[in-house]
Amino acid sequence: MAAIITFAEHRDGKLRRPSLEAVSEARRLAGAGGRVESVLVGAGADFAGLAQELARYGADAVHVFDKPELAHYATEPFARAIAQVLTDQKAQALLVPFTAMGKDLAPRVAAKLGAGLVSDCVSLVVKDGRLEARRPLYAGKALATVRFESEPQIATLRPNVFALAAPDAARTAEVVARTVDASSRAKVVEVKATASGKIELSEAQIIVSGGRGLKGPENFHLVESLAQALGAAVGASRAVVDAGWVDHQYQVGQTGKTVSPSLYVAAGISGAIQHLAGMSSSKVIVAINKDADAPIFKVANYGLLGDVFDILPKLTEAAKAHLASKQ
Amino acid sequence: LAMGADSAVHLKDAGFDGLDPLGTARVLAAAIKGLGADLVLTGQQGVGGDNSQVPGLLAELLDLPQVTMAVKVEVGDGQARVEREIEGAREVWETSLPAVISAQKGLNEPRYASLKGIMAAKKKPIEVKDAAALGLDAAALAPRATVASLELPAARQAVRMIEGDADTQVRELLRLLHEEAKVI
Repeated sequence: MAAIITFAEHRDGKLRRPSLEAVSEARRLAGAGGRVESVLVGAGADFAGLAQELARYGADAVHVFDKPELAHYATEPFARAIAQVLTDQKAQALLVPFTAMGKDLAPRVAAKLGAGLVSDCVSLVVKDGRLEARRPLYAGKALATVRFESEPQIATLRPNVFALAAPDAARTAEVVARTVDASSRAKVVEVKATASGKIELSEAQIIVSGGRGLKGPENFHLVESLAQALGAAVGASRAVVDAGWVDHQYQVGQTGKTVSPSLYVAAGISGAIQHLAGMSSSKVIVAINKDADAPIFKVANYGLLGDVFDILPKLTEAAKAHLASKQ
Repeated sequence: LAMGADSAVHLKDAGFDGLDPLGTARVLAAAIKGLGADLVLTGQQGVGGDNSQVPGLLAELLDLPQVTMAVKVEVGDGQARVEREIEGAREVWETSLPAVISAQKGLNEPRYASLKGIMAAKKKPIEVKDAAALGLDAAALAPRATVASLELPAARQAVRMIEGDADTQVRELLRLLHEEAKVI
C-alpha cells in the first residue's frame, strides 16, 4: 500500500486516545516497511512532543499545522490541511477517529477529493492492495464487509475498538511544518463544558447506565452512586432522557453515544435494539433487571435477575469495599 | 408537506438505488444548487447506515459552511448561532449563511401534522426530477465503496445468570468481574 495518513485529534495539550488507536492501526495495516504519516492541526500546543508520541505508536512523519487562527476546531481549514497532506504525499488511505470532530471533518475531506468514506469501522484489512472495512449496519443488527472501489480510501474508526500498539520508545518521526489558509465561514465562539470533572462517556472504561426500571428521576442517584464507587461514567437509556430525568449527553444508543467500555452495567434497561446499537461492542456487559425476558440478557455476559432497588445499593457498598481492599 | 413545508421535490430514478453517501450528496447538491437556499437543514444520520456523512459531503459540494450535530439553532440576519454537542461539552458556533446545518436529537420536538396541515398538503406542489434532469450520469453516481457481504454479528456467549439473593448475587458478580472478566 502507498502511504497511510492518520488525523490526530488532540485536546488540552494531549492526544485523544482514538488518535493513538488510528495511528496504531495504520502501522498494523502498513506493516513494518510501509509508510504512516499523521496530521496535527492547532495552535501553540507542544506539537513536537505530540509528534514524538505519534512516532512511538507508529508514525514515520507528522505534518504540523500550527497557527493562532487554528486554536479552535473549524471544518474548512482542518479539511483543507488534511486534503493537502493526502494529495502531496500521494497517500492511498486516511484514517480518522469517529469522534464528534471526525464525523464533522471526514466527509468534507471525502467530498473534496471525491473519495470513498466508510464510517464507524470496527475492523480493517488490506485486500488486493485496497482497504476492506467491517462495520455495523441497521443499529448493529448486521455487520457489513465494505470494499473501497477507488483511491484515496477514507475510514473513520469507532473509538475504543482498535488496539493500541505497544509503544516503541526508539521510534522517531520527522516533523514537517506546514501552513494552510485558515479562513473559515463557521467558527467556534464559545465552549461550554457540560461534564466538568465527570468522566466522559465515550472515553470511559467503565459505564453504569440506568433505564426505566429505576421508576423515577428521584432514584437515578442509585446509578450515579454505583458509577462513583466504580470510578465509572454515567449513562442512560433513551427512555429516561426523553422523560427528562437526565440530559441527552448521557444517552447511550443509536441517537445518543456509541460506547465500547471494558465494562458496561445496565440497570433497569430492557435492551431495545437502538440501545444495544450504542453499547454492544462493550467488552463485558452486566445486566440487572427484574424481567427475565428482557432482551438485554441476550447480550449480557453476566445477568442478575432481581430488583435494582435492592441490588444497586448493595453493589455500590460491595464495590467500595472491594476497591478499597485493592489499594 | 403536512408538517409545514411549502413545496417538495422528489428525486426519483432507478439509478438512485444503491447510492453511497457521496452519490446521495451529489444528487442532493444538483437539486439544491439552483434553488437559492439561505439555509440547508438535514438530519445527522440515516437509520440504516448511520453514516453521518451526507451533511458534510453536501456542504462541501455546495461550497457552504457547515455546523453538524446541532442541538440549538438561532438564525439572524445573514448568520446563525448554533450549539453543537461534542464529547463532554457544547460548542457554540457562529456561521455565515447560507450554510448546511444538521440536526441532532434534542434540537426540538417535531410537530404533529394537524388535520388542516394534512389537507393542505394535498394541494402543495411536488416536482419530480430524475438523474438526467439533474445532469447526473452513471459515473457521477458510481459508489466509491460497496457492501461486499452482510453477516450477523458474532454471537456473544450466552449470559451467565448469577443466582441467589441480592447479597449473594452482588458478592459473586464482583468476584467474577475481578477474577474471571478482569475488568475491575
